[in-house]
Amino acid sequence: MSNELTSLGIIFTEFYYWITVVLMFLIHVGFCMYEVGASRYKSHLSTLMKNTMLIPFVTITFYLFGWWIYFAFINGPGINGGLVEGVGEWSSPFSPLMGAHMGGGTDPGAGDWARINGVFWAAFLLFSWTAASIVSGAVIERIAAGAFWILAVAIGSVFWVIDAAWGWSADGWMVQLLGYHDAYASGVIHAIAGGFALGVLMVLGPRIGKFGPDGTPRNIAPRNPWLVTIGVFLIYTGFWGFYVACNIPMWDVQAGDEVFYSATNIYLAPTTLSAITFNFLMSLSGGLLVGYAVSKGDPFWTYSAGLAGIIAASAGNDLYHPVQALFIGAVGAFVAYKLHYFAERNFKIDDAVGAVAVHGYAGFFGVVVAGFMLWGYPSSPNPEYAVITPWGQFIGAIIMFFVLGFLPGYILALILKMLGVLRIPIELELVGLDIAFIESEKSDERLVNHSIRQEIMKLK
Amino acid sequence: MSTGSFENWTGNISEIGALYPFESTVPLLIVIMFCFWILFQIGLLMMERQRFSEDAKRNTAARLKRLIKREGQGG
Repeated sequence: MSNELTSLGIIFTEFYYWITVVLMFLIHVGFCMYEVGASRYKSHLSTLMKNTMLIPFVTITFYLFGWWIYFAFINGPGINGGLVEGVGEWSSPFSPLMGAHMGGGTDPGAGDWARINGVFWAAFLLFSWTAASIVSGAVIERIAAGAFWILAVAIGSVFWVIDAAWGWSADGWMVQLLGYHDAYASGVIHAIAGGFALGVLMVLGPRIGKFGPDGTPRNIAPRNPWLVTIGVFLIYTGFWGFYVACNIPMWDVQAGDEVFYSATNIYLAPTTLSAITFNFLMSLSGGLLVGYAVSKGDPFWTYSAGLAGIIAASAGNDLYHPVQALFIGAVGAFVAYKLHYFAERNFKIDDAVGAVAVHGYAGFFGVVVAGFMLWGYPSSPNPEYAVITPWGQFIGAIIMFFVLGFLPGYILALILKMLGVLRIPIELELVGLDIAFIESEKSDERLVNHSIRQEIMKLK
Repeated sequence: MSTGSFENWTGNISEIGALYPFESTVPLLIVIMFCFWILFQIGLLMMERQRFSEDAKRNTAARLKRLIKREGQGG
């Protein structure tokens, strides 16, 4: 840090990721608002606490083992090699670099990384919160919070991190062998979280009253459309941080002796902030337009479709033309909307906020479409790695949605169900999860009113 | 005396490593944190089951009775 220009680059990178963390915090605020707005009055507070409390559980476990998994599981292990050794020097909780560190001393792996480690860790952690929060929305009003927090740790600190190691790191085995490309996490965050939510939903079952005796689905509309819409607006806002966090701000991308600095995607391949700014806004627009049209102006689905549009284009938004991003976003939103109602009608899936559709189906679609759009593109600056292909992306989408998402969600939910801790008691579901709060508030209010009446009597 | 690895900022900054105090206790803190996590993960689950059973005895039963009565009047 004694050279001014080098220091500037390092401190800029540190600040860059710190800003992304602040912005991504808004995603969680948005998810909380969205979920509470979608729930009924009798379960508002419990819905809020269920999502809020995933923060400490996922944060602690991501510190304990999530960050290490990302670096150690790049080869599977067992698919393209074993566990990567030595990564614990900066990513294990016992590493001195997992705390305030100036980069000096004799600690192995210290140096510039000492300044970046914490902000980079936090950027990944906020992705973990998002993955868990996606699941949280789908299961509102009937899952037990204690069971949900176990599932949140599983998706947030284990399964999405494994998929990131495999398909969202410069040397992940999926990048090397399949040419997997998913720059802004259509698959590695959204498809996996959507698949996980679907697995949990299949075991958990629908809310009481969601389906009629003949199986006809009924709409349980959001109780507070303002909270829902502002919540999704905040998710859009936080998504800017999410996108930028998927990049590396400065990297020498020139092979050989020459030097060329650029922003890169997570695979260290060149892109620009302008590219993702164009494409983010265009894919959002495509999703919003189609969402509004297909849902006949339903605000809930219009906003959700905007999100689905971004998610559908995210896998290739580092390289697409803005008009391509627009149409991919539009089609992705259409697919998500139609599949949501198809699954609801035919498989009795009660996805309360459309999370499986918006994240899972749109994410899956986005990964597959990138295979056709970017067919033959290099997946990495390393020329020995596989190029992007439709089949590589399709296998990748299956791994994300089913292998690392659906299956663990289904199995874990099944175990929790067998232990009798997955779903809240039926009586509580009927009267609402907030019954204890509501009764306690009523009781307090009665006491206060009684005191007020006594004071009035004294005055008389 | 200092609880950290340095006693002033006048030395060579580039030689400073960890900034936090009691560096040698970190492994023990990590083990305690692991136990802390497990304790809360299981503890809050148990606490919730306890609350469910209390609700069933008090609040839920009374509220359900009112709901059933209202449904009966409606029917």
